[in-house]
Amino acid sequence: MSDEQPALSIVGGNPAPSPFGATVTDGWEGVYRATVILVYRYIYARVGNRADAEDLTTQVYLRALPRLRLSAAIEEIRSYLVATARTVLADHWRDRYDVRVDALEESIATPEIRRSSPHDEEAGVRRAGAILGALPDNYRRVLELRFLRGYSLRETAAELKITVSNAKVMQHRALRRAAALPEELP
Amino acid sequence: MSRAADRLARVVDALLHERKPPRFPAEPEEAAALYAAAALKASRPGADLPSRDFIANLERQLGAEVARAEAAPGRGRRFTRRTLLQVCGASAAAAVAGVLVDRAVTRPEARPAPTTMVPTSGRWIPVVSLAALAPGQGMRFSSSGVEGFVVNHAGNVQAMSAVCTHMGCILRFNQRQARLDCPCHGASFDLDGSPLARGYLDSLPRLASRVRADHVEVQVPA
Repeated sequence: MSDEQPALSIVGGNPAPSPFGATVTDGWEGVYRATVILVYRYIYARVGNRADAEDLTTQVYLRALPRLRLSAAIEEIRSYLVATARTVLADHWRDRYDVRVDALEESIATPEIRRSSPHDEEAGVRRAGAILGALPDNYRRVLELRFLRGYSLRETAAELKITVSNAKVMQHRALRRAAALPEELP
Repeated sequence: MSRAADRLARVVDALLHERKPPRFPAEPEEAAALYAAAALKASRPGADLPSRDFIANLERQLGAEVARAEAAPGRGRRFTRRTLLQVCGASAAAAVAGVLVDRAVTRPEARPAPTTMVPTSGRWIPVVSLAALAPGQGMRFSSSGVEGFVVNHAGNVQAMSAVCTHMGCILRFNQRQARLDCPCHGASFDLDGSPLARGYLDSLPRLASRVRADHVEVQVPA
């Protein structure tokens, strides 16, 4: 290779993960493709359903895209989009349930989700596992059947050999207990 | 308790069916339970991944808004809510018709052909001897800001980006299974650059390559 040629290095071993962004500088489309899954997952973890997650993700890009400096570093762009998502989520929770999401985040036990990097996709899974593991058996069981296995209330009641009314009350108490778990959970 | 339990049960049912929960004023403790429910639902493996149709529809709609904003620069760059309604309307109609494509469903015939990245001002650099690149083998290289692989896919030698189209991690060459694996979130790509299993991902962009004097050369920015 002559001196005039650009440096080339053959990479061996297992390189560390890197947010290399060569393919995300292709205008707004590149930015969108490099960030949309991150933004969607961030929102989904806080609304728990596809219909709202799609609406709110759309709002994030409609708000953010006209203001984005496309030449910015991809990490900077991601941070801006996540900040926009927080604002959109706050509006959503105020509109849907008449609550302030910032107060909500202060009062409930989702410290890891709140603190973790939005790139840590396993944070929510770990947190959910910790929540379920910290609950009494009957509460854990009802939430596992409902949320992880997708059982209906009727199926859950049959599995636990209780009435549907009791399953509904147990689900309510289990979620209230889950929301009140201490922040020391991983 | 019973009324609150009924209300919460309706919300959980909506979440489990991917629908919007009903609107109601919630007490702070009730809202905290709703938040916990959303987090638990999202922890279901794969539940929090967007569908390919949504990603494609939103990109189309944003493109229309960008074009509209560029055509009328004097009116500011803020996008209108009309796009939002169009996108939501399309999603809602698809949901009613039951045609929302799940992320696990791959439709390779619908995926656009991989793009080839060609620098505006490029130079050819030799990466590896052709003889050293047997079928099923690959070579990772890095040059001028380009992270790439040169691979021999069933006798067809080609170069492609080494950057995962999911979230930008650098892929690893899995020689045993003849594929490219992402160390971050488990995505894998065939040696032709097409995503395996996760059909919502784009294919790896190709890099311009050629064979000269028994060496595989790749075009990188000058």
